Amino acid sequence: MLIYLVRRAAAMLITILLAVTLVFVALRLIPGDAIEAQLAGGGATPAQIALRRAALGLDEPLIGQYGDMLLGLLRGDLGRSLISERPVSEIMAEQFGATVTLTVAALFVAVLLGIGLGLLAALNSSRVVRELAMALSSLALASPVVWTGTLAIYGFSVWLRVLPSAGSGDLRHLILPAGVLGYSVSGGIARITAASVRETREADYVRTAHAKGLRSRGIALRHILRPSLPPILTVIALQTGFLLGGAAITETLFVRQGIGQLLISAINDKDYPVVQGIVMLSALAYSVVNTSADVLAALIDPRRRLAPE
Amino acid sequence: MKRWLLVFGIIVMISLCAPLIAPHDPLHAESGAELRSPSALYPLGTDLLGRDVLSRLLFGGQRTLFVAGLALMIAVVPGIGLGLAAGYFGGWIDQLIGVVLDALLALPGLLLALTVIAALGNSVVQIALAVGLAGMPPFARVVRSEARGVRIQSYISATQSLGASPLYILWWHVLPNIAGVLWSFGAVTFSWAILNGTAIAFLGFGGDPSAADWGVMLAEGRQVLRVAPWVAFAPGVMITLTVFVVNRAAERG
Repeated sequence: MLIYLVRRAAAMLITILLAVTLVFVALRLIPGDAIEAQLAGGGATPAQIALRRAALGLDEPLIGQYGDMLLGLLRGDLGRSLISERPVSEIMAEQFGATVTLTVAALFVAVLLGIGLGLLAALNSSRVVRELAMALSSLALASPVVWTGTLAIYGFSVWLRVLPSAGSGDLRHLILPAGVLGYSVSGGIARITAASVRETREADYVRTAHAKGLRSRGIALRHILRPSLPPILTVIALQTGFLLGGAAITETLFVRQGIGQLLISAINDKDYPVVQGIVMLSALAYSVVNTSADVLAALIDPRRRLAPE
Repeated sequence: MKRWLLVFGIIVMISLCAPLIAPHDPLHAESGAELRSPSALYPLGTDLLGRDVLSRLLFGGQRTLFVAGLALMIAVVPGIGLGLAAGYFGGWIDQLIGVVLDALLALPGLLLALTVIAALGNSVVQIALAVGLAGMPPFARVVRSEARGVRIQSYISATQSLGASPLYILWWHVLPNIAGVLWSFGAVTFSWAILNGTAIAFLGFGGDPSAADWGVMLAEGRQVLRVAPWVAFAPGVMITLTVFVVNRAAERG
């Protein structure tokens, strides 16, 4: 298990380093930057623009900037915004809480709904219920978040007038965005749960458990769901990537504060230290979550600790 | 599967025939006819600028499906190449490709697409490139693991010892054996591309704001949701229907 952990951690670090490099290169390819957009509009001379570039370290050769960025990362320094000149980490920290609240709430909804629908679709004795659960998860997979969100706003805010459509504040503001984002993510989880559970259900030991006269609820949870968990965990972890992108849409749709909103405005302003910081944070979150999921799966199923192939 | 493919074919045909069946010009803004509710003249109503929603819906399919199709090609062609190379040759080639794919996978798809659009601009081809590039790593991953499964079969080593070249084996033995998975995951990638294109349009990076495009229409419709819900409902239903149909076509058997 220790060897497995070390190998996974090393692979994760390489992945993050490479992802950071890719983002760095991609953002340097963008023509024009915030300084030009800001100053040239205000009638600044090329000399003034160059002076400002130098002050921000943007006139150094790329390899030097890259080195500075890596050293900064080690110290937790993500650079400064080209617009407000405040540290990127500080700007992100202000928005971080709102997005974490949204994504964690959405993930909670997604896991509960996804595993619930998946179990219903695979195990319920009524054909109608099974088909309905399957249809609900198919719809979740097929609907853009923008569309389900629009429907939810129309239903709950315009028509029923029970929930606010915009803003962030108390729990009532969280229900619609978290529900919409969570439902969208639940589709994939429900699908893999149903498939994995159907496969496990056929196992000999499940038949034995039935033959012993155990109650079917107990069998469903202990003998079927538990061994079905590793692939479900993997899919849940993979969904975090989608969740981070989905947060950008949900925050815009429901006019909530958060990292997603920050990213959209930073892209519009060509403020790329901020874009870089956010994309790096996403890559870090995604890698950590997925590595943890693999480790958790290896704890449940020791065969997974061996190297693949 | 065939049934769903037929429905998808009908959606494509209707979009292609838009110039023949659309009752109005999708770009023409009729002043004085803004936000009309559905009527005989405008079967699905008009939008904020007085454009016919039905005509925009018919023409919109062209742009939406074209972008998704082009994105699919951009994801699939290098995805198959990289996946086959990694799965067939193994060793350091596999590890090198694996590391790069892992890094790309770590960047959330939508964020990756937005970054590419910020770098390259947002005309139709660039949007497809951004969406396709973000869809490539998962596709290559699937191809790799499938090719690996075929590679370790004994008939492949038998063919090798008869002197067949890697290209011959890949083309005649590996590809036909993974065609089913390629088809399924290709369909999933296509519907994912439609959804991502919609999201990009909604976030305001969809290019030409007057274009007839389901994603752009949905984004516009949201602004007038309270007074004219039909503007958002028409493209919303079409996107969901199309993705649903493609997802069902992806299921084999």
